[in-house]
Amino acid sequence: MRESAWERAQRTPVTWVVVIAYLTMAFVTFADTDRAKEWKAAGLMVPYLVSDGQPWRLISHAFLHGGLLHLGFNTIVMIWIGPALEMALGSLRFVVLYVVSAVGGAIAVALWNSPLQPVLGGSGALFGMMGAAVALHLRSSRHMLAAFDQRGPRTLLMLIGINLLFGLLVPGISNSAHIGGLIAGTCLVLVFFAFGQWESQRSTKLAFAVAGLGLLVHTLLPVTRWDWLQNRAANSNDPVMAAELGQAAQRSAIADGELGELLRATGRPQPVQGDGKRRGG
Amino acid sequence: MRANVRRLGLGLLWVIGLWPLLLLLLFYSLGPMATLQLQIALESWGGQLGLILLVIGGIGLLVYPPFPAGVRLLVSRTLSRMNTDREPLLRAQSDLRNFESAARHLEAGRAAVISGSPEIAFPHRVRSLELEPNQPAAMHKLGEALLELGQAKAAIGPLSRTVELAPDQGFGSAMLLLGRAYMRADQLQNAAEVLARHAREHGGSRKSLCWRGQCLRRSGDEAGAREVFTEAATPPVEGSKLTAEEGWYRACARVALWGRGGES
Repeated sequence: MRESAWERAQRTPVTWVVVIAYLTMAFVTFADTDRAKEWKAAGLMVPYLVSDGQPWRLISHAFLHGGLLHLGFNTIVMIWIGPALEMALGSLRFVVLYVVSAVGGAIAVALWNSPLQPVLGGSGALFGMMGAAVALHLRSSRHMLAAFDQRGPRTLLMLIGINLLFGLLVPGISNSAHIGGLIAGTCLVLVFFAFGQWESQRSTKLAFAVAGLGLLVHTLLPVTRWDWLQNRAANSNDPVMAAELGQAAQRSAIADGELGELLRATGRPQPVQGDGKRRGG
Repeated sequence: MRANVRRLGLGLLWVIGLWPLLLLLLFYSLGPMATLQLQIALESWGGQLGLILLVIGGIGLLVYPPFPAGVRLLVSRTLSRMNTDREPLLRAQSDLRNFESAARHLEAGRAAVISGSPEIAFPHRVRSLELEPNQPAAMHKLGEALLELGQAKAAIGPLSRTVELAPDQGFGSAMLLLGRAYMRADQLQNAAEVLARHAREHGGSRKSLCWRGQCLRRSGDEAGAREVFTEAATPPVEGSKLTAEEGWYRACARVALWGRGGES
C-alpha cells in the first residue's frame, strides 16, 4: 500500500516542526500590531544584545523572517532538503545540525557585522544544511571527487553559489550569516558526524570543538568590542573603571571604524567636518 | 609534507579557539585598555606579517623553484587522495575476515597505502611476513612502510634482504628505498654504493639522482654531487611534461646546484 503523506512526515518530524515554527512565527510577527513588533524584536539576532545577556537570539533569529518572499523561499528549501537530510542523519543529529548552523551564522554576523545591525531568517541554518548535504555526498561516494559526477551535489553547489552571489549583489542580505552557517554545517558533518572509515581523528575533533567554543565565547563576551565596553562603562559603579572602559570603548570604535555608531548609540553629537558634513555614518 | 600542513591547520584552529579565552583572562587581570591595545597591536602586526608573507610567497613562487614545485606536488597528492577509491581497501579487509593469507594481507597493505593510510598498511605487512617469511614483495612493502613511518634503521633489514633475494623487486624500487634508508640512518657509504648500483642497473630517475647527489654531497664528494645534480636538473624534453614528483626533485636539484642545500 502506498505510504501516506502523514506516514512520510512521521519519519522526518523535525523538518516539519521547523516548517510549522516558520509559519507560526510568521503568523505572529507579520501582523502590524505592537505585540507582533515586540515579539519580532525579542527574537532578532543583534550582536550587541546577545553580548548583553540575551543569548537565545543566536537561535531564535533562525525562525523569524522579514516578509512573505523570505519566508516562502526558506520554507521551500527546508521542505526540499530537510526530509532527505533528516533521514540520512537521524532526527537528533538533524536538530544538532540546524542549531549549530544557525549559531554558526549568528557568530559570523557578530564577528563581521556592526554590533547594532539586526539580522533574521533561517538562511544561515539552511546554508548549513546544504553544506551538510554536500559533505554527505563527498563521504558516501567511492572517492571524494566522484560526488561531483552526480547531479545532486552539483545542483546543491550551484544553489549555494547563486545564493552567495545574490547576497553580494542585493542589499539587505547578510552574506556573513550564510557563510558562517555554511562553514558550521559542513564542518559538523565532515568532522563530527563521520563514522567508520571516514571518522576523523580525535585531535581534529578537539581542534574544531575548541575553535567553535572559542568563537562562541567571543560572541557572548567580546571584551574588545566597543558596544560591550560601552555597556560595561555605563553599568559600572566604580568611576575609575567606568572611565577606563569608556576610553577603551572609544578607542575600539575608532580602531574598528565605527566611531559614528558609538556616538549614535550613546546619543552624543557626531563630530563635524570642516565642510559642514557629519562624519561617522 | 601532508602531516605538516595538517599540524599547521590544527594549530590555527587552536589559536582561533584559545584567543578569546586569553583576551578574557587579560581583561580581568590587566584591565580593558591593556587588553584592547594588545588586540589592536596584534591585528596590526598580523596584517603586516600577512602582507610580508604574501610578498615573500609571491617572490618565492617566481625565484625559488621548490616553492611552486612543492605546491604542485601537494595539490597533486591531495587530488590523488581525494580521487582514490577506498573500495579495494574495504574489500581487502573484508576478505581477510573470511580467510587469512599472506597475499591478502599484502593486498590490504597495498590498498591502504594507495588510499593514503600507511599506518593501516603496516600491521598487514607485518602479518604477511609472519605467514610467509622470505617473501620479497612483503619485505619490500614492510621496509617501505617503516621508512614512511620514519623508522629508517628498522627499514634497512627488510629492504636489504629484499635486494638480496630479488634485486629487481619493484623495478628497482626496493633498491632505491634501501639507499634512502641508509641515507636517513646516516650510513652514507652504504647509501652511495646502493644508489650507484641502482643507477647502473635501473637508470637514473630524477628522484634517485637527487638522493644520490645529496648522499655524495654529505659524504664530501662535491664534484660527484654536482655532476649528478646537473643531470637531475636538466629541463624536460621538448613536448613532454614532468610529473609533479619529478618536478619537485628537479627543483631540489636546481637549488642544490646553487649550493643551498636542496634537501628533499
